[in-house]
Amino acid sequence: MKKWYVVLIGFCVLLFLSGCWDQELLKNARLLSIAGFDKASENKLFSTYVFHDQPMSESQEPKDEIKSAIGRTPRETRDKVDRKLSNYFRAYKNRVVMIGEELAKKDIYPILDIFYRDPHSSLNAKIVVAQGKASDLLAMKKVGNTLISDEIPKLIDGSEEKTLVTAENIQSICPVLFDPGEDILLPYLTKKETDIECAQLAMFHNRIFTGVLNPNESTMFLLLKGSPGKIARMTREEIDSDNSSPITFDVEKAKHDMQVRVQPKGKIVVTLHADWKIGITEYAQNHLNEQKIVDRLNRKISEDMTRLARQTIKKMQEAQCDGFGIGRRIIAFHPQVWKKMKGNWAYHYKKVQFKADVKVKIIHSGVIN
Amino acid sequence: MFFLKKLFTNHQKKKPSEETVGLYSSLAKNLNYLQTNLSHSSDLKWEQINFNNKKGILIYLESVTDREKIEKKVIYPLHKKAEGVIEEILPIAQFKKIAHLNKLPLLLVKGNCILILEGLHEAYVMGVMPSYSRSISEPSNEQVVRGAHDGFIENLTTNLYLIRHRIESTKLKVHYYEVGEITKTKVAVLYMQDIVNPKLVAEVDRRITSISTDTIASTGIIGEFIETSPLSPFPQILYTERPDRTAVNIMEGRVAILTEGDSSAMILPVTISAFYQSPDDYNSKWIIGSFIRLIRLASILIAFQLPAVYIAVVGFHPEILPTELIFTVQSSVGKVPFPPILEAILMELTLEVIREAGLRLPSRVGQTIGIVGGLVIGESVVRAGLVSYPMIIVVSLTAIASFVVPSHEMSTAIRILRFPLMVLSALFGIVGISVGLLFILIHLCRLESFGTPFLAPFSPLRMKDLKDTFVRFPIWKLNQRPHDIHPQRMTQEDYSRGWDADGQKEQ
Repeated sequence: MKKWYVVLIGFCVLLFLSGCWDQELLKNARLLSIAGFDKASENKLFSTYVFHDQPMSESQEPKDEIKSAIGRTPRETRDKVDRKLSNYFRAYKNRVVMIGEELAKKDIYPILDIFYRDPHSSLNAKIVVAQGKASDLLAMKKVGNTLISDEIPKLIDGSEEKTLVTAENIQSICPVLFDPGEDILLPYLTKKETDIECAQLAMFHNRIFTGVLNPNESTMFLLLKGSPGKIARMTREEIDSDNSSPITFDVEKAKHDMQVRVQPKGKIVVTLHADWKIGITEYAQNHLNEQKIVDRLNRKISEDMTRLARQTIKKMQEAQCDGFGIGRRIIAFHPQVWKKMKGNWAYHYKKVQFKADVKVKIIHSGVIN
Repeated sequence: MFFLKKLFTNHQKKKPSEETVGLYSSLAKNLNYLQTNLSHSSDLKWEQINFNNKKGILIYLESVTDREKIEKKVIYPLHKKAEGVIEEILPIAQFKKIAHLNKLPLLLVKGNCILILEGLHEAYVMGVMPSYSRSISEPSNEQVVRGAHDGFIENLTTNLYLIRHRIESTKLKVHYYEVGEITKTKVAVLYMQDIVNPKLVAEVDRRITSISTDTIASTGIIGEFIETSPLSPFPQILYTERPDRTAVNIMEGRVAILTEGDSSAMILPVTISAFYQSPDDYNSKWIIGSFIRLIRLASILIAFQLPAVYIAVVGFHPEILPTELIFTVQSSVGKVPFPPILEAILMELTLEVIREAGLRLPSRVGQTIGIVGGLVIGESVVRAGLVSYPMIIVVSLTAIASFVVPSHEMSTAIRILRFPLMVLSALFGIVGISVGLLFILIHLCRLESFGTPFLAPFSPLRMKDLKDTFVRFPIWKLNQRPHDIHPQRMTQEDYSRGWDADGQKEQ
């Protein structure tokens, strides 16, 4: 009986002891939606933070609050912004990290370090590269009628589903950032007058921004990599036909096969073979019920796609972006070869011989025939 | 300490039993004795009667006897015959001859009338109890959609009839006890002689006979006397007003205890699963029964933890809210001046007050409470910025979920345990909730009801008994009685679907 009293009193006393109370009230938080980083003069960082404020009453419209600061590190700019902000700066619902083009031409890890260190930070935030300056894009405040804090994340989501850009977030790029045998590709946002477009990929080499793939090349890369979204659609001219007309198709099923071989002399040969089943979604020439025409289209599109694939790979090689992870394969299967190439992988990667071909087969052409 | 002990201990000193007193030859003396022993109560009536040329006196308590029965069955025959053997004349079944005067007062209180003839040394005791009882109706707190609609009433004999009527077996044993030094309340213990675990019966007998109190006001009081762990918030005895539920439990090998003057039966021992089961589960098809049972289980979890989880989320881990939701919650929480725990306790207490008020009010006024409580408080409290919308939703969900729990005792236990969990979550977030739940689980694991583990068949795990816990398997799959009560016969059903040739192959 006495023991119980001791325990009970002990508990009561504990309740009144002051200590480290890690309470984190939602009502005291200012929630960061988008963080944009740009290069400022003298190796400094110009950060733009977009906070989303939901109004207390239903009749008012939600608003975005944009604050910016210059500092040496992201944490410093964050603290500087916090000084200008009511309540507390909280980044656990951050949705997008946007890096300006100029800044991305240096190592991007110092910008991301803060996100990996804080256990509360949102690891599923998208990470993108902005054409020009991130602050310019964020300064738009609204795109059409949508707030920028809502527009950009949803824009990226949509583009991911349309197989236009890679579906990467802070968590998923982390292992690739530190992998010498693979490079990341991030969505590349461009400003088109009053709109923002997300359809291109920014290529990186060793955490440094090196080039951009155009929309068709981006889709091709994603299909060859084997990570398509829900829809993969392309519109191409049927080039060497007499009555040329554009054709639009969806890639319904994409099989891909990549083999990395090292020849005795140390030359690396990569065979990329893709086998696509496509559906025609638009083709004004019609007559798709005739097997002859279908066969001809199969051949033409295959040729066109193979050309596009080679063009994409060439661009990537020029940018030294090893998005397919050729280096990783070599590390895994040919460690001896890697030992030799390790010091100068970018050089060797440029010399890798790619043998890409795409085989296309039309499996349906809509409801009319 | 001594003071507490003094407050709570029973002084189990038995009064010495009275000495036996023979009947006096004088009627007046006898009457005087009875009057003294019945505290000169005003409802003690007596009438002069002459029989066999002897002066006699007929004594009864008018409040516990049926005046009409006395006239028809006692006074009228005695007047008509005037002579003869009393046993033969009176058309009364409950007839006794008692030689001890000291036994008479108690018999009077129990509804007998007593005829004392001058000079005789024996008194004639005749049972003339009135049969006032309310009709057998469905208990309002345990209604079912389909199935039996009768319920226990305040009369023990009727209640026993309701059970005997359901179990027409010679093995159904009723054992009477008289509990209460003064009230002498009749308590009946029912069980199936050939199924029940004899050790359990012995234990029940031991605990009931050890009760030494003046008054037994209700079944619940006996329950508190015989419960294994009275300090636990969880009920270890199932109270029910349904004869069908009682009968089924008796047939499973459990013991039922009924009390005179109370319309609920106690069933023991029970395990935790009994508290979220309802006869409805067995009346409807097994798929529907299982579904509803799962919903009930989910409601128990909601009633138990939802406010605590909400407090933890808003106060400690807002990052687990989805992006779209967090802004809605934040905009509502933002203008509340209190920390979430205060907000929650304020609302929960308001709810408990409304519930209690609704219970005490006549049903016609009850609607007013609904409007005042639900609309006025619910709406204005948010408008005034005292409580946030999500909190209102959480509290209302909790309230609705807690009403789903079929057992009133379990429902109250859950309502009470919600508060410590809320405090823990306000202090330590999800960690606090986990620790709180851990403590509750540890407590449940060591809890037992009359030697049966409370968490059976989960702990100790017995796969066969899981058939009738979370879900209800089809009746023809439930071949065995639950193992936790150690019945003498395990098999309760065997191959009732033997007619089904296809089913036969499967088995």
